[in-house]
Amino acid sequence: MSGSLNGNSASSGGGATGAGGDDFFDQMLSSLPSPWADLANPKSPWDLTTGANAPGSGEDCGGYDESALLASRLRQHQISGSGSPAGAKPMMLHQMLMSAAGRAPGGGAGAGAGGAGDPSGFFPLPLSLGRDDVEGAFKSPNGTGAEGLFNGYGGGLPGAAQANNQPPFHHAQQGAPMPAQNFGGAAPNAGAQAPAPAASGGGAAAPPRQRVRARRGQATDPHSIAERLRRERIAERMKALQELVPNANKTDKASMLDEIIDYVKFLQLQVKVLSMSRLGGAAAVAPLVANMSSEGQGGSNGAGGSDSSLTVTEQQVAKLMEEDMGSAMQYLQGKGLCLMPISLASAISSATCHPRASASHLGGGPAAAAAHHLILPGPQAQPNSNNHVNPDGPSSPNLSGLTAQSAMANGNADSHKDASSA
Amino acid sequence: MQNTIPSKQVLLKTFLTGLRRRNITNKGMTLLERKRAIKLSADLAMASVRKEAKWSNALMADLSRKFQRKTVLPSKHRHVVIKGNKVSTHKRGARRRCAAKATAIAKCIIRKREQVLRRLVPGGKCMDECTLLDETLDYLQLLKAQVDVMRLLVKALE
Repeated sequence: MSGSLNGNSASSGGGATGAGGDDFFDQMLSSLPSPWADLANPKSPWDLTTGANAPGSGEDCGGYDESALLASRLRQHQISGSGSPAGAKPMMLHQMLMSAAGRAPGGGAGAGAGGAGDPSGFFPLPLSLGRDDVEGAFKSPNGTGAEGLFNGYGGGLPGAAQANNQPPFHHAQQGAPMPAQNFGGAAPNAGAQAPAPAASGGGAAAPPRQRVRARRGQATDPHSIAERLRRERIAERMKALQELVPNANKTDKASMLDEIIDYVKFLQLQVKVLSMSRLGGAAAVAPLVANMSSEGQGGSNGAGGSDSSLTVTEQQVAKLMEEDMGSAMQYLQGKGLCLMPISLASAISSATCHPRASASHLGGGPAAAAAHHLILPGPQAQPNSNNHVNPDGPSSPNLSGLTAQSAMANGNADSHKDASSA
Repeated sequence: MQNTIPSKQVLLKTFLTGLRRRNITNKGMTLLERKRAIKLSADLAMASVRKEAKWSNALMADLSRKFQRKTVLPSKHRHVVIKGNKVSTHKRGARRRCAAKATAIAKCIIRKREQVLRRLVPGGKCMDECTLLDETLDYLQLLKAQVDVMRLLVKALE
């Protein structure tokens, strides 16, 4: 579309103006009165002018294309500042003049960016130039200037920061930073002085000045100012969101909202899915992490911390054995170990009496080695465990059902249990 | 306007404390119950990290209402009447009338999406557009941090 836009703009700009910029300027200005006149319903004359020139869409320069309209309207609601045409009108002239006074691509980009800032701030700059200067500025750039002007103008017509965002984006890639971008930078600064210089600048009696002043008058209406401020704030937030949300290189407000919605849904879904995962064992890690982060909490931590050779898992399970058999089982479950129901039931019934004994039967295949080590800190962390280990000997076969490879763990555990108790 | 990036350590700690309190180690929990408990802990951790945000208060109010049958926290919503509530009727009329007026259609699209966003972000029903975007930004930051924390945990437990 941008390519066609360039082609159309160049051809139509060149063809329409023929000689240069001032004819073009006249043409633009002549098309302005209708939207200017009908401020109550700005959209329909907007449509007509857009239809007549259709520079933004580039699809049909002279036609009245609904799809082009929709596209341009959607572009109207762009992040750098969408607006009702009432607010956009002053911006339109800004962008026009900016792009004319500056280079074409930079003008479009600068105007688009600056337009989102404070359009009224632009007024002092071009208006103070005087009509002749502006025309001179129109004339001085060569064909690219006219084209850029056309782009800026075409972008300006449907509303603020619409189509001109897109061709200038393409242009900006080709072109160098333009003086108009300085305008864009200076304009927000000058925005504060908008009303006074605008009024003074509008003193000239030329018809474009009058129109501009009328527009400015519209713009300085408190409601439109509030509207504009609100739009700018929204644009700011959208830009910030753009940085946060991945894949958010869209300039369009609607598609940007879409991306945001998708991302929020995605993250919420991730939380749901993750909460269904093995986070059940997270509680097991909770005391460990909490203890480690706030150092020196709980006496059992000392024993756990002293054994650097032990893994976190084993320490944790040892701690869990103190509190609750169920938590240890949950933890094991989280590790992918299977349990046998019958032995589990008996284990739980005896869990309160023999929580420590189960330590000897922990682990599946890979954790069997860990089970051996686990017994060692057991007595340290739980000084009473020694007393209980032996009496638990008969019940150990029940508990060994915990592990998938129960025989292996059982045999190993028994041997080590004897070693530790000795 | 921008708040600080949420500290993941604080988030993790709060999350785990919440998990413990929910007695998630109780063997009697079905998968669904456990999932709900975890999600609750996650939401609470997220909301507590960013106490001054509107969505955070809304989330706490929602959760407390759901799980305790009473509102624990005072609702700090601004009860703003959102004109977008009438979007459905307006949209239908708009679509009929504004077939040639692309602006209205574009606005309808945007408004429809805004409604969806309001539903997604907790407390979004009572915010104006500007605040909605602000809160969305905040909420997204927290959500991302929470997901990272949970991922870390799952990885650590493997």
